[in-house]
Amino acid sequence: MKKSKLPVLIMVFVLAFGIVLGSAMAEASVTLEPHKYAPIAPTHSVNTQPSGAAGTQEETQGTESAEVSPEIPASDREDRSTNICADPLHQSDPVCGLISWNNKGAGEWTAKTAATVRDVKLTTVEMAKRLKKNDLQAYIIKKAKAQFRNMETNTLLNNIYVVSVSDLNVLRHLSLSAGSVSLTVALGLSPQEGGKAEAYIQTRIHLVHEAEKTKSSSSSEDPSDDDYGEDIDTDDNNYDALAKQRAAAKKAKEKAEKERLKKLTAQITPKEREKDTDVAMAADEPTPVREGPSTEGILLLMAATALAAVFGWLIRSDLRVMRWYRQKKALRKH
Amino acid sequence: MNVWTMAGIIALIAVAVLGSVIKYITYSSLKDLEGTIDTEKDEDGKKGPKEIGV
Repeated sequence: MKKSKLPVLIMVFVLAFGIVLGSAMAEASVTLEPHKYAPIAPTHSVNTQPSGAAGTQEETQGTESAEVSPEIPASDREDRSTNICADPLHQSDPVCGLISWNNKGAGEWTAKTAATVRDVKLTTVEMAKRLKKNDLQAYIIKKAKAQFRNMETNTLLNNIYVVSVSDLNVLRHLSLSAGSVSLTVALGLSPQEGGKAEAYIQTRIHLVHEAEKTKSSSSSEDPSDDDYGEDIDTDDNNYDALAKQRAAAKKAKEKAEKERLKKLTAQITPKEREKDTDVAMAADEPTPVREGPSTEGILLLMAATALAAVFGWLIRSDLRVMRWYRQKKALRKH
Repeated sequence: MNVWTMAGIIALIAVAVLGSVIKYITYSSLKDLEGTIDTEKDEDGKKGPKEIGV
């Protein structure tokens, strides 16, 4: 091995040592803090639809006392009957939240639900129409679904399924006179939304007399029907245009919201993001993202490389002078 | 502190320490060699290093 290659080798060795040591420390840190890199826990996806769209003129705030469906196990009843609407923070909500997410350990996410009575006004004409079309159940479920919300974000939840609808037959046997009837619609969360959790919503249907002449007017149609999913009525000539208009508006709103979120995310500095991560960890929320090299880390590694280069250059100079002296010594001997 | 920041600091310290040690060794060797040469006399009776091409 030539002597001139020695400083380069030393420099490489020193640098490699630093990098290996640093990597080992990084790996050790991962091993020591496994909670930091825990697998992704199932999270709930929420509809980005603005909350204002759900509230209809016909849905009014219900009473706070709630009768829980008989399907609810007795052990869970106390937990489920917690009425979130009693919380002053949520009283101002147009439709107060029903679910609070609660990590019960071992990665199992469950929903704490509140049984709430919702009043839905239904005209006798509407009732007759639904009964005739045999889609009363779908209508009631749709109404109940519109009230199924995430408590924290006050947004509608998707992917819910109907567990049961009680007393629906009562409605069928009702005479088309004014009155009210209560029924319970039990809704569950699909696996995408967290699995086994169920919420029980009691919906009270108010039958209101409506003059026969208003049947022909366009106001007889419930405007809230079109808010979510497919509308049941198809006999309205204006429906297609209206539905298209609403779909376009909904898309535009969603796009604007996405862009806004994108801009906000771009504005967050890495330091703030790190701070947010710390806050999330403090709240025992899983942080699935494994951190990459930070700016400081990269700068420090670059500084280490530069320092190694400086030392290499200095050592090389010393070795050159030493060689020069040795050559001189050898010349003297000859 | 980010693990990568920690890794950078450790790498910097390692380079500084190892570089200093090696530099000290080479410098000491050089000084020793210099001292030996400075005390020797040339055939013309002069002390110190003689200009030669490296």
